[in-house]
Amino acid sequence: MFGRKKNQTKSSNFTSEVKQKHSSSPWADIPVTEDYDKNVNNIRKICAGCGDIVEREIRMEGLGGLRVHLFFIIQMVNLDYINGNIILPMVAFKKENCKDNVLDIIQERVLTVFQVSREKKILNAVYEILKGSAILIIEGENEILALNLQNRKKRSIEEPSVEKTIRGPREGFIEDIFVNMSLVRTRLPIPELKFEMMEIGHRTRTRVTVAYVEGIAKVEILNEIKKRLSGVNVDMVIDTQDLTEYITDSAYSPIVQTEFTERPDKTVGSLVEGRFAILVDGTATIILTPTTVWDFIQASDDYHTNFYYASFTRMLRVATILITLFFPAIYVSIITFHQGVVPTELLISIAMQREGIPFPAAVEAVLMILTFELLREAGARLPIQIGQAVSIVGAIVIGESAVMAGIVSPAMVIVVAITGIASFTIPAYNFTLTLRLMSFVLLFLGSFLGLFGVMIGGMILLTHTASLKSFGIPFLTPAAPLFSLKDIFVRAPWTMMNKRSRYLAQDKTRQKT
Amino acid sequence: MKKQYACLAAVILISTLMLTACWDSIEIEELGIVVIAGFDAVQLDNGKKGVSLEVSIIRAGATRAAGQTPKPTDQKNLWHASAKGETIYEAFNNLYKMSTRRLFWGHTQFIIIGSELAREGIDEYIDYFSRHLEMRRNAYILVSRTTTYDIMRLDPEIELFMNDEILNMIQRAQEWNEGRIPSMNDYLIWRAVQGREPVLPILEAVPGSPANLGKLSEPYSTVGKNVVSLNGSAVFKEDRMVGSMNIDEIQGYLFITNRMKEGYILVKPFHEDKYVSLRVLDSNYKIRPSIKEGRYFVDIQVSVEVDLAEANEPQLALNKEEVLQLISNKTGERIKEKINMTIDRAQKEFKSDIFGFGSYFHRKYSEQWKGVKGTWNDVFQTVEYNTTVWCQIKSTRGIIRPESYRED
Repeated sequence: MFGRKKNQTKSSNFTSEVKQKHSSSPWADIPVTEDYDKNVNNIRKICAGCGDIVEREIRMEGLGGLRVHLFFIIQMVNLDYINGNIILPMVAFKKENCKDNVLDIIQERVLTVFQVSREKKILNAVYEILKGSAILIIEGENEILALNLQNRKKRSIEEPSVEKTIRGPREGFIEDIFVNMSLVRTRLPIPELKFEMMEIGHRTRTRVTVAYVEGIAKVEILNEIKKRLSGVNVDMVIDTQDLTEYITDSAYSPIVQTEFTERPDKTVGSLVEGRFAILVDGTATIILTPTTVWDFIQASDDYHTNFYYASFTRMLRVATILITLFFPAIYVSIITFHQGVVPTELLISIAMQREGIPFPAAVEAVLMILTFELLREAGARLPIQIGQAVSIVGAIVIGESAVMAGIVSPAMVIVVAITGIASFTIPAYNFTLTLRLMSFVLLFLGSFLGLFGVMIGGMILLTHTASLKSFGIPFLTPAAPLFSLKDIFVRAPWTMMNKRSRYLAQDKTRQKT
Repeated sequence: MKKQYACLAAVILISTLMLTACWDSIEIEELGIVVIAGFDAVQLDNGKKGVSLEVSIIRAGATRAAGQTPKPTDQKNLWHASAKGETIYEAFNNLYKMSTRRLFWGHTQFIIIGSELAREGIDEYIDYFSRHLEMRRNAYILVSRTTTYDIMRLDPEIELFMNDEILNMIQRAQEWNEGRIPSMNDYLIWRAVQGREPVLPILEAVPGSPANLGKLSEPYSTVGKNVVSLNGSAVFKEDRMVGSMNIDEIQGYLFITNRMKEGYILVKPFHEDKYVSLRVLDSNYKIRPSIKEGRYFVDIQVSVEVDLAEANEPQLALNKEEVLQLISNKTGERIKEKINMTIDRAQKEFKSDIFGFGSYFHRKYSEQWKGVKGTWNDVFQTVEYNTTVWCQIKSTRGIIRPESYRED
């Protein structure tokens, strides 16, 4: 129902297609020639108007006054290296007796730079500049040397802002993909941990990495992920969310099917389970896939606390899913359709509170929930300093005054508040939003059809959820289809979880018994 | 094209949902929640006999002043109304004319029947309630000693609402001897079972405290006011009330209908004016019917476990086995006395088989039962019986002599 069109993704040779994709420019096929001035002018033409690209010409007296032209972007390279490792050795170079060609001499004897590559096409050389390399155009040579001196500006590693834990590690991913990879690698120093790199986006040329543990992760799933990623044919990938919408199975379903994380420890845990991580350059959240609905209620803290308490909170979270989805709907349908099922004293109490309220219970509920969403949205948009004001306005004006003014009943305020708080206990923020949206639909059904409508809505929701798949894995696994329930409604002691999940991993032994 | 069809289908589906227009929905504040219902016999304007239906509904509005959080402290938090009619349904419709709200019967916790009406027969009126969609089968049925209104007009003394006052009292009735209060469901079962007649508890407005308490903080005590109380039980023959039992008879009745699970017994084991009070912990019974030479006979066996709650005789040596044995024997005799007295009165005065002896014969002698089915209440008067009671004192609550007793 919500699936994408089947023919959208074509299987193809993965790496070659990525390279071809960027070759639509008129400069694409222009090769580097032996004409030094022409090469330099071509690059100047391509980069005309790019004020951040600087150039410098050097004459190498050691090679008979050979002209060498240097292009780079100041802010993206380490200027010390340009001065000390490129310009200085070139100027100071003294001709020795050797028969090598000029390119080899410069690469092997002059430059003291670790990573050097050779480009045969002008455009590729320009892309190297833009990625943070310095390029050298050498007089009379038909290849350009690209020297990787990348020195990107990045923030330091901080505690994740969304997924907080009480006792777990405090490191979170940052926006630099290489740092993120290193954070994962540090925790998983084995050669089986693979990072398959590619570039997605004609214009953003975003680096995307698929990480997995060879021998545990299933090859079919890997192939499917690669196939879908290579089928993504857009100009811009900025965040993991846009990539997600291109590669999830049922992209139009209201239920989110991707788990995001900004925690390296969680990533490593998932990788060792046999899952895949998709890292995108420029964003601090990564994708963990295949995803099941239970991944959304597994918080990092579950694994960092005693399993009894962890199991308790796990069950609490299952309850909060139900509360978030159904509580307002059930409340409204009970007090407008099924007054008989409420205990008498509670009914009297609610009736007293409802006395003089001008709106029907359904309208009242929608009003309050919208107000809550407004406050939440305002709180998210505002700077932290002003955010305080929102909570004060929310608590006093909406909570207290709306009740005093007789616009809403205290019972409804309680219902909406409990629903709101319950929704915040779910670790996955994107799943929370799904639940809140669905609770609106159920509320709508409940206010028209009573508990019957809520039941129908719940059944449709459950059926749809059960029909979803994430890279071939049913969305409710391992509860339906049933596999091990050791890490779903409870968190079993580590000593008892000695098998990997059968549906995900090739190698199932976790612990020798 | 496909997309258009999908859109069309969605629009139709959503519109259909809207077109149901919340059928059956009713906002909670539009409900008049009936918490007490009662009916009495009245004279109609045209001289015919009729019935009046009385209800108390929650006045939620009275309890919420504008700009205030609701406080249900107003005394006048129930609205009483009554209407007459030839049937309950007519009375109900007449009542509806006066009410601004839709009367809601889903929370009616008890039905009170005026004793005058109860003497004329109540089946035709209970029928309305048993058919009502919203009415609960577990609503209690009670008989008022006088009229229903005498009970309904009383003000609650402890609880906020009068219905809570009555409900909480009757739900604990078992603890002080009245046994479990029957619900409408129990009544309907009684009427359906052959050879067993209903017994319903009686509500009465009684003076709250003895008058000699004087002026002790009058507004908050029950001095000079009437309070509602359970007082006796009404004995029915078929659906007509034929008399009432006092507390001793009720106990006898409860013992042989297996409902005496709590309650107290007073005995005078040694001296004429010194009591020993015992609390019933458990009781079990067995009734064996037999027909010998055309005579109906029931053998009643009751075993009771009690503990000693109060001993007014300081000299009692409760540590001695034979003393305890004597007390329990006396208790057994007292219980037997109560049972026999009750059966005697039922046979001679009420002529109504409230114990369900008939149902025992029905089960065991189904052939003979066919012959006496129609005239069972007459046969019941000739049923012979033999009562055996075992009583056992389980505990003296850890004290064998009063604390104040000084040994010389």
